[in-house]
Parts: sequence; structure tokens; C-alpha cells
Amino acid sequence: MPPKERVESSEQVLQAVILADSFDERFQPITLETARCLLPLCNVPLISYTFEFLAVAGVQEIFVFCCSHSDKVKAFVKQYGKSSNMKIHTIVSQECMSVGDAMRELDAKQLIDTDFILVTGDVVSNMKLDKVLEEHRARRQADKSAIMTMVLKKASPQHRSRAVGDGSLFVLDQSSKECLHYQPVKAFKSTRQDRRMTMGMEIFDKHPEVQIRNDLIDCQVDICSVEVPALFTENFDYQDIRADFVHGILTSDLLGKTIHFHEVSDVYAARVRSTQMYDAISKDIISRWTFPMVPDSNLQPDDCYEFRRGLVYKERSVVLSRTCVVEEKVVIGANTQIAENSVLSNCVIGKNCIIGANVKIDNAYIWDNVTIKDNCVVQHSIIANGAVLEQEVTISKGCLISFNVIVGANTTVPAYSRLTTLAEDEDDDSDATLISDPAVVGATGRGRSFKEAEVSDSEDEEVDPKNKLVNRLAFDLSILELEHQALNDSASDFESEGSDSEVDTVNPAEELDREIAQTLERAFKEGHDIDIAALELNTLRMASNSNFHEMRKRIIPGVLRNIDLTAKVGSGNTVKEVLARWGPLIGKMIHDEADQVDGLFILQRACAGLHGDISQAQKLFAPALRYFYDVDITEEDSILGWYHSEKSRQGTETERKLRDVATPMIEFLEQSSEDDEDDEDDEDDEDE
Amino acid sequence: MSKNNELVDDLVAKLKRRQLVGSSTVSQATLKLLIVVISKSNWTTCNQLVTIVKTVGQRLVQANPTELAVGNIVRRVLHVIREEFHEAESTISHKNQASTSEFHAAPLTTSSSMYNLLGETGSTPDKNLQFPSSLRSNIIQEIREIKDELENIYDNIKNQASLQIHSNEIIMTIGRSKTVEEFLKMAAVKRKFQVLVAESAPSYSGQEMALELSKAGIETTVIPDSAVFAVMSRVNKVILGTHAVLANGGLVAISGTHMMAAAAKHHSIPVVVCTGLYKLSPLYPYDEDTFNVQFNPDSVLGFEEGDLIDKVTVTNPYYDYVSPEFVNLFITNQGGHPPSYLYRLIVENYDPNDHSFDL
Amino acid sequence: MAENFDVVATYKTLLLTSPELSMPVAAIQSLVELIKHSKATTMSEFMLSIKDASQQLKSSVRNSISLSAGCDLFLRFVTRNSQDVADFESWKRTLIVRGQSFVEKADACRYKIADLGVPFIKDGSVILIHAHSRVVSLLLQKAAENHKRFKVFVTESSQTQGGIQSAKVLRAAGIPTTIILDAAVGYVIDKVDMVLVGAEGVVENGGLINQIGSYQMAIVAKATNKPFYAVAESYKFVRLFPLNQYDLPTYNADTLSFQELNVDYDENAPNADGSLGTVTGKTRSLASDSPLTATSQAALHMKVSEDRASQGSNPLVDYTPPNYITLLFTDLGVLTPSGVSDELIKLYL
Repeated sequence: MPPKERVESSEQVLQAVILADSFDERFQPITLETARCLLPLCNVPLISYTFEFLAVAGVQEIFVFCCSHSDKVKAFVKQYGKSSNMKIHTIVSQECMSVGDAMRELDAKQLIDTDFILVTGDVVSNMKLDKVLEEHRARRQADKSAIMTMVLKKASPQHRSRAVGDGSLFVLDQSSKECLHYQPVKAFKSTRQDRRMTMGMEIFDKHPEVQIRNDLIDCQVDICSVEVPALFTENFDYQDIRADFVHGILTSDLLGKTIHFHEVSDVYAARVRSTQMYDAISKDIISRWTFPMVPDSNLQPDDCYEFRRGLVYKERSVVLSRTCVVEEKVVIGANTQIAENSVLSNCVIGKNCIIGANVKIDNAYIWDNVTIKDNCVVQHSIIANGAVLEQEVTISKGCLISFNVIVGANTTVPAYSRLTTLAEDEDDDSDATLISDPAVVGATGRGRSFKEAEVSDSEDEEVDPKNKLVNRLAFDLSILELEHQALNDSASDFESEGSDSEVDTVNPAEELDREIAQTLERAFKEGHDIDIAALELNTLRMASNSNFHEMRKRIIPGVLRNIDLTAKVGSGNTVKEVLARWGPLIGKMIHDEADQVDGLFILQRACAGLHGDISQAQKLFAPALRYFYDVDITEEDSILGWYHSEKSRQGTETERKLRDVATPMIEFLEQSSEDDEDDEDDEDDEDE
Repeated sequence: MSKNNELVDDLVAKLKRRQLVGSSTVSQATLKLLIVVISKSNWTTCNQLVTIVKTVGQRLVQANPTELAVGNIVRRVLHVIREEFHEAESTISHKNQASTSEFHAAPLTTSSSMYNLLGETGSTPDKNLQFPSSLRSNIIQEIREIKDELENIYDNIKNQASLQIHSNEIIMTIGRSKTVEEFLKMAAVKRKFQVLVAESAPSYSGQEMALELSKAGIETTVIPDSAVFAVMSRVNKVILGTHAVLANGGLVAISGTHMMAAAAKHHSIPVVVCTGLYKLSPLYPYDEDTFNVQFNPDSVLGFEEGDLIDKVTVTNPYYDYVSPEFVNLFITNQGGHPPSYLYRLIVENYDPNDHSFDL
Repeated sequence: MAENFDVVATYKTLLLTSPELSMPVAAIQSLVELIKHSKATTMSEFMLSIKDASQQLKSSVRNSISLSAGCDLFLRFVTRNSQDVADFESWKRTLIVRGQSFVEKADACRYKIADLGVPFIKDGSVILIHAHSRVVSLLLQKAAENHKRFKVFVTESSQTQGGIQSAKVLRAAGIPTTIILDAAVGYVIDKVDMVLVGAEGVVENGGLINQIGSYQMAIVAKATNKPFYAVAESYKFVRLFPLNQYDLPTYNADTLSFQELNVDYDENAPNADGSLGTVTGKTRSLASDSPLTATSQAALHMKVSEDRASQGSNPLVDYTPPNYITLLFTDLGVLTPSGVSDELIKLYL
């Protein structure tokens, strides 16, 4: 087999850029001591998964971009590079604060000379990129403005492997594989903007058919063309690649660039963006959705995991006591010892751990060199290297226990705590010593509770704190749902104080009122055709998801309001004129008999409502009733039905009196119907 | 040496990432690598060369323990090496007929290890003999012959086809096996018969097989895996391919094969397995799971079913273990043999010291 | 030339002093001792004396299958090498050296077998073993050392009380062991994942000769699809080809014979040890529910074993045909029953 050739032509060397820094603080306090991309996922460092993914794709040169803890990343990369035939370079940059900064740096260094694959340091995927690369290159040949191809994976909305807080809305054109619009979707939407998507209409000029998709996992694997870093340099306010770059490119007409997508559905791709995703992706790996990147493939050179039924992965040197129970979905690293009667399920345990007797570990991630003494309970948490849990400790769900923390005996660590041994350095004093907090780690423990730095006010968009919480491990959305209702009102109060946004916690009924009133007003003012007005009203009905009854309730009074009893004939506002002009509109809202009866009730109430005095009201009511009968908006039977019903006799005095006003008409109708019947009988008799 | 290491690393990586799968692809890649390693490394004695090859073999086997063909090829090569050295030694010792104080053991065609209990020690001491320079090229030549054998493996198997299949027979098979495909196509030249193919979900390789067979003009029917037992009574023979053959005559074959073989046994229908000898491994099955791989469950239950995947464990075992009592005949490139005869083939092709690559 | 070297006595002493030594190895060692003390001067004399000693050994022991295997192996070895012998004395010395090294290696055989067998024991499995076999115990001890977690059922094999010995050894190694009645094999087989037995001898067709009860276990295992593994050192391979149980050299006319009626079998006569008590008790009817008291049970037991032992009519070994055996673990490697004959042929060619 000939050795790997150093190809000169830039088209053939496939390059990739790994952004090894996530530029966020979701894994703190663990990431205060080491880089995010080096954290173990099922006992393999995160960035190894990315390297494997790129190796399978045939990448030959990789640039790893790191900011925090760059020395550790560099050391790891060097070690990895020894057993791999990809050339891996590390680029260290201390001042980068976001993806945008990293891209600008990349552009400044002029290292990329071809289309490249852009990934983050925490992507787990078994995807083969050949097809995507081919498509991208073909597109580039044809059209130089196609600057990026995003890889998206289809998954149902409630899927556990979707980042709960980082949803996305994509507007896609399937025929040209173009992405037309992008919008980030938050889990908890507090502003009106959060709940709406705004898209320019000019998109439809070129793309008559679009799909609006909320069922895609964005793995942030992009094939970028060589112009992308330059674009970042040009627009120096681009920070995030999706929210800023993609959104910006797509909404800007000047640049004229297009972004494409590639949808995959039967391969796995996800990013460990938060502790919640860490949990979900670990489970996916254990359940073998990421095959062949599974623990028993032993991708790391020194591993020797063996697979057992029940999705149990054990290295050969593990010592299990006779009575311990390893239930299912467990990964145990080398040289770990588990003592009597312990129960493990759904967990990952690293190398060289010592687990005592009667320990229950469920849904937890325990890294290397951890000691857990007898009778502990660990639920749904992450425990980092070197931690020690003394006897009878209970770790409740959602905890992050950082390196070397010692939790003293008989302590219960409360849910969602984050413990660290790093001292608090308020004055950036690196000599600060740790003051252990006995409330959290017990009397003999070592560690304190970590609090995030306060979010600075320079953010112009309001960050709903719930959106940050939602990314956390074991975060139970149902708890917050209940609180959400209560918070909703307070959120709206908060809104109305300072911001200029409209009243958004609006009663839908009132809104409908307003809409109809506005529509009618417009119709009256501009003298619309009945059909057009009816169309508008129907659309409103459908948009507000209401029914004809609701429409009638508003339209009938709306029309009647135009009537000025004192108006002169010829002004257009007399009863007859208004009815003649706008009556058919009411007719469009009335269909069957029930509608008709209902319409009459509304008429009754409306007239009474508009004019409290019976003498005025009847001037409105009687002609209207007559009109309805004349133009067959309401038929004889309905009028009789209305009259004879109990409901028409109820209500205010004016309403009851209005009913009486109708009496002569009713008598007339009944009379004529008898005549009709007689006539019919006669006719029948004659026929026979 | 470091170049050799690079090549070995490369193959190890490909095996681990499953970029190279399938017995024959893997065998060819291993052979190529071994030819390079043997021709480019320094060695003078048998033990040295054996150690070099065993080290490489150990790494390759650990990269993907279910690809048994890798280990088989390494063992074939080691056997060839030992034979060549033995021959070279005996030619030398014939030349120098020095009398020794030790009495010579009566010449045996094959060394019996039982005899070794009382006789000489098992491992031959490293004699610093002056081997002819042609030894290296002889070994390489022998290995190239193995390579040729691999490339022409189908021919020898195909030629037995018309003996095994008679006219108007109904043959049943499962999944996609190139060996069985060639076998049946060859038989179709002279005989007219029908084939039922079980589709072997979830990979549906049976459907591809049916397509290939029908292109060759064979009347083929695809049946779902669940219908195998129901249709078995109408079948005359079951012809199977396999991923590997174990030393006791058991098979590691595509999932669904065990069911087909058991159905055949129930109806007393002969089961014939077509396989090249490179798939014969001297290892024994410790249990049904030893040589099995669990694939991505996506083809069984889609990953999009978000609600279900949390509550349900989905497995997708790729292989089945079939006990030797279900198999009646093995058709190999060295003729047809019953399962009980396999031990002989193993003894002839592999050395007992090479069954494990531990040094 | 008759000598005062008593090969049988040597053999018996060896067995007493080293309980871990198996019978064939002890036999070979005794024969090696014989060579040391041999005053024969010619080849034919020498060969005769060895053959003679071999015969003595075989006839001295009741259950001589494995012993025969060892003797035959040594004899064959000596015969083969007696072809062209230049110097008789140095040849004798070489034989002695070889013999000694064999004895040393024979011990190592067991460890080799244990290493081969350990991967077959799955974590969490339940194993059924028969009576006491040193190789099987070693295999299980090794598996326990490799942190495999398993449980063992062992048959009592009341005749030799081998089960109790096995249980002691295994429990000392931390393996949970339960002794079951010989008759309970069928009852327990469904709880068991595999059956593991030792061997007195392995015959040409790959069949097994082992303590009485093995054949039964093999049949039950086959009927319930459980693997049946036998463990044997290669020096136990014998040149026998039994066609049925009664083809074994240990079978004689008395085995399992029926007593003639005129032989004294008075129910009321006291037993050989002087105790009283009848087998078919007039003192209790079949319909009675009263359980046998401890003493009468003991008396019953003793009476039966007395009965058997004195008649010498119950066999000590049985033959298991090869189709019941899944695999044989030997120091030559793991073999299928059909592979055994090949090894034997190689030796005796």
C-alpha cells in the first residue's frame, strides 16, 4: 500500500476546522478547570469523537481552534496525532469570545485555501460526508454564491436528543436545497417576538414552495466555502454562526449569497451543547444509535471494552463483586471495583473508580478515579475526576460535582447544585483559598457551591432565566410549566413597564372585536363590495379560529351601528339604506335554520343594546326584522321559532318589548301559512 | 519499520471504524499488509519472524474481533512460515549429517503433541542456521499463492454446483452471499430449478440477492423471514453462505440463519454451506454472543420515534450462531466435508501454537 | 530377572504421598523408578520387565482405565525408541530423564487445560459438575480468580462421596456450591447453563469414560440442549473402542448380576456389621406416612451399601458415547470428539 501522498493541488486536501471552545458557560464549574472538548463522554474525550468523525470523512488536515485551557487541548491533540495520519494543528487564541472572533482570526491567519468542514469540538456523528461534500462541490462549480451547506438531521419535536433550549426554525426549499430563513426558538417564550417568525415576502418571488421546519436537529456541521471567514471579517458584529451569520446572510439582499442544507435521516449527528444534551447523547451512544462509534469498538488505543447483553459495556479488568447488580445500559471503565450489593443502571463509570457496598447509581456519569463509599445514592448527576463521596451521601438529581470535591459523610447534596473546589476569586486573586461550605459538602467535605456570574446588562435582548435552566441536566420541564402560568402575568407586567412592545397578553375575544371593528370600518369607509368585505371577515374568522356565531355577534351590531335614526333619506345612514347596502353582509354570516334563529336573537339583543329606550330600539328592530324576512335572510319558520322560544321572552325589558313589537308580523305569518296550507290541501284535493 | 507501523496503524483504523468489512475484503487487505511486513522487516530465525507476524496479527484481531477472517489469514501465513522454515532446516540437516549424541525420534509426518509430552520440548529452539537467501522469497511466493487462491475462491466452489443441485429442485437461501450467488448461477447453466430467498430484515440483503439471481435467469421468489418455516416443507435443499465457520463446525452467519437451519432440521431437509476455507477459524464459540455485533437499531425502530426510544431498548444483532448439528455439508474450495471433519482441515492449515496470538 | 522392586507398592506410596498426582502419572513415575532399579542388561529383558510391571499395575487396581492409559503410553514411547539404540546404559538414562520431565509437565497440563476452559464460563452462569475431579476444580478455581461470577451444583456421588470433596474445595475458593442428589440431575438441569465433567479415559471415537453417573448426565444434558464439556489430560487417551457399556475392561460377569436365590439372604439375619434392621421393613407399611427416623435411615443406607460393596456388583465407571459430548478440553487444545481419534492415530502410527 503506497504511503499517504502529500498532494499539492488544493482541491484534494480536505481541511476541517474544529472550534474547540464552546464560548459559553454551560458546563461550569467543570470547565473552569479543563476544556469542554476534553470532557469524557462514555469515557472517551469529546474531541475524539469529532476527530473520528472527520477521519471517516477523509479529512487530511485539521485546525483546532482553542481558547480556554489551550495547553491541555494542545497536549491532547499532540498525543492523538501520534496514532493518526491526519495532520492536526492547534491554533491558540486567548481573546476570542465567540465563534465570530474565531472565524475572523482564521481569516487573518489565511490558513484555509479550500472548502472546509466546520465543526465544533463536541460533535458526535457516524455520518459519512462524501455525499454532502459532492453535492456541495457540485453546487459550488455551478454557482459561486452558494457559500455554505448545513447538515441537518430529522427528529420528532419531543425527541430527547434535541437541545431543549436551542431549538431552531428553518425555512427550506426542498427543490433547490436552499435554506431561506432561520430563526432560533427558545423554550420559554416571554416576548411577543419569541413567539413569532418574521420573514420577508420577497422570498416567495423566487421560491414558490417552501417548508417551514421545526423538526430538525441542527448538528452544526457545516461545509463552508473559502469565503466564509472573509465574510466574518467584513461583518465584525457577527458572533454566533447561526443566529448572526446565517440569519444575516439570508436577510441581506446586498450580499446575494445563498446557504444550502443537506438533510440526513438515517445517520446520527448531534452536538453536546449542554448538560442535558450530554445526558441524551450518552444514552444514545449506549443504545448504539451512533454505531460504529460505540464503546466496544475501542476507538481509543488502550481500551478493551466488551459488550454484554442488556447494553452493558465492561472493560476486562473490571472487578465486580458477586452480589452487585449491573442492570442495563451501563459502561464501566478499566480497573474499577464495585463492592457488594451495589446496583448500577443507566450510568457511565470511568477508570480506576472504587464503588463501595450498597451504592445505588442511576442515570449518573461518574468519571475517572472517583471513590464512592458505602451506602451512597447518586441520581442523575455528573461527578468529575477525583471526587470522593463519603459514606451515606446522597446526590440528588441535576448536580455537577467538579474535580476533586470531597463530600463529607451523611450529607445530602440538594438538587441542581454545582460544587467545585476552586476558590472564589472576586478580585481575580489567584491565591484565594477555598472556603468549604459545610451546608453543601458536609462538615468534613471540601468544596463550595458554584454560582454563575451575573449576566451583564449589555445584552439588549432580555434573557429569560428559564431558558438557561432548561439546558441543564435532568431539568424537568413539567415543574416549570406550572410556574410558567404564574410567571406569565408577571412577565407581561414587566414588559409593559419599560418596553415599547404592544400589549401582548391580550384577550383573544377583545382582539377579535377590534379586528372586526376595524374591518367593518374600512369596509364602510372605502365602500367595499359585499363580497370583498365578506371575504375579509371570513378570513378573520378562520385566522382567529372562531365560528360564525362569534362573527354574527359582532357584525350585526357593527352594521346596525351605522344606522342613524335621525338621518335623512339620501344620506346613506337611514335604516333602510344601511340595511340595503350592508344587509347582505349579515346574510353571508347566516346559513341554516339554527343560524337564522341565532341571528334573530343577536338582532334582538343588539337593538336593545344600542338603544335602551324601546321607542328607539323598535325603530331599528322592526325594519330590520322585516328586511331579513324580505330578502330571505331569515325564513318564516325561523322567525316563528325565534318568537315562540323561551329565550326571546327573556332578557332586559327592552328586549322583551322588542319581541312584542314583532307580534303583528308573527300573526301575519301564521295567518298566511294557514292560507297556504288550505291552498295546498285544495290543490291536493284537486289533483286526486 | 516505522513505515510498516504506519501501514498497520492504517489497517487497524480502517477495521475499527468498520470501513473495511466483509470476509473477503478484509482477507485481501490483511494479505497485502503481511506481504509488505514480511518482505520489509528484518529477521533471521523462525521465531523472530513468527513474533513479528503475531504482533501484527494481535493488533489486527483486536481492532475488530468479529472479523474472524483476519485471524485466519494471519494463521495461514504463520503456518506457511513454519513449514518453509522446517523444510529449509531439514534440507540443511540432510546436508550436514553430523551425528549427535541424542537419538533421533522416529520421523513423524506430523508432530504429535502427545508424543511431545514424552519426547522433545514443544517449541523448537532457535537454531542459528544459515538459511538460504531464497527463504524469504519462498515464503513470499507461498503467500502469494494463498492470495491467488483467495482470488479464485469462487471457481473451485462453483464447480461442485451441478453435483449438488438437481433439476426441478426448490432451493432456499437467506441474505446476500457472493459465494452462494456464484454457486447457484453456475448450477443454473446446466439445471433448471427455483430459488426461495428470505429477505433477511432489517438489512434486506435477501432482496438484493433475489435481484442478482433473477438477472441470471433463475426463477426466484422473495419471502419474508417469518414465512421460512411455513414454506420449508416444500423445499428440497437449503444452501447458505456464512460469515465465518468455527472450529466445532458452527457458523457465524447473518441473522435469521439459525431459524432457517432449525426449520430445515425439523423437516429433515439437508443444509449445505458454501464457504471458502479462509473463513474457517480455529476458535470455538464460548457462547452465542462471542462473535456477534449489535448494529445501529435505527433500521429496526427509527430514531425519530422520540417517545419510544426512551422507553424501549432496541437491539439489532447482525449475526446468528448456528450449531454444527444443523449443518449437513460444507462445500469448500477443497471439496465437500461434513462438520465433523473440520478439525482435520484446521490441523492441516493452522498450527496449534497460533490459535492465540499471545506471545 | 526378578528383582525386589515392588512396582505396585511404589505406585501406592506415590499416590499416598502426593494426593494431587493422578493415577496414570503415578504409574509412569513408578515405571521410571523401575527403570532406575532395573538390572536388566539386554533390550528384550528390559522390555519384558517393563511389560510385566505394567501388567501388575493394571491388575492391582480395580478401576484401571486411566492407569492403563498411562502405562500404555509409556510402553509405546519406550517401544518406539528401542529401534536403533547404540548405548544401552545411556539410553536408559535418557529414558529416566524423559520420564521425569514428563511427570513435571503432566502437572502443567492441568493449568493449560484450565486456561483453555475459562473463557467458556460465562459471567453469571450456573454449572453442574460430577463428583470430584481435580482438573475440573482447578478450572473453576481459575475462573473464580478471573473474577467470573458463577454458581456450581455438584452431584453427591454417594459411592465415593466425591461431591462433598468438590464442594469443600470450591467453597474454599469462594464459589457458591450446592450438593445435589445423584438422582436429582434431571430436576436441576433446567437451572443449569452447562455441564462439566472430568475423565478417567477418553476412547478412540471421542467417547468418555468417567465415574458412574456421567452417562446419565450426558443424556439429560442432550435432551435439554445444554452443552456437555469434558476435561481430560492427553495422557488419558486410551486405545479402546467400546460399543456399549459392557465393552469396558472394568466389566466382569459379576457386575450388576442378579443373586441366585439359594444364596443366603435372610431378612432377619443380622447385617455384616452386626446391626439389626431390615430393608423391606415389616415394621412399616408403604401406606404409612411416618418418615423414616434418622437411625433407620442410616441403617437403611448402610444396609444397601453393604449389600453392594460386598457383592462388588456395581460398576465404578461408565461410558459416554461421543455424540453426547459437545467439546473436550485437553492440553492439546479444545477438541471436538471427532478430533480425538486423529491425535491417537498420530501417536500409534
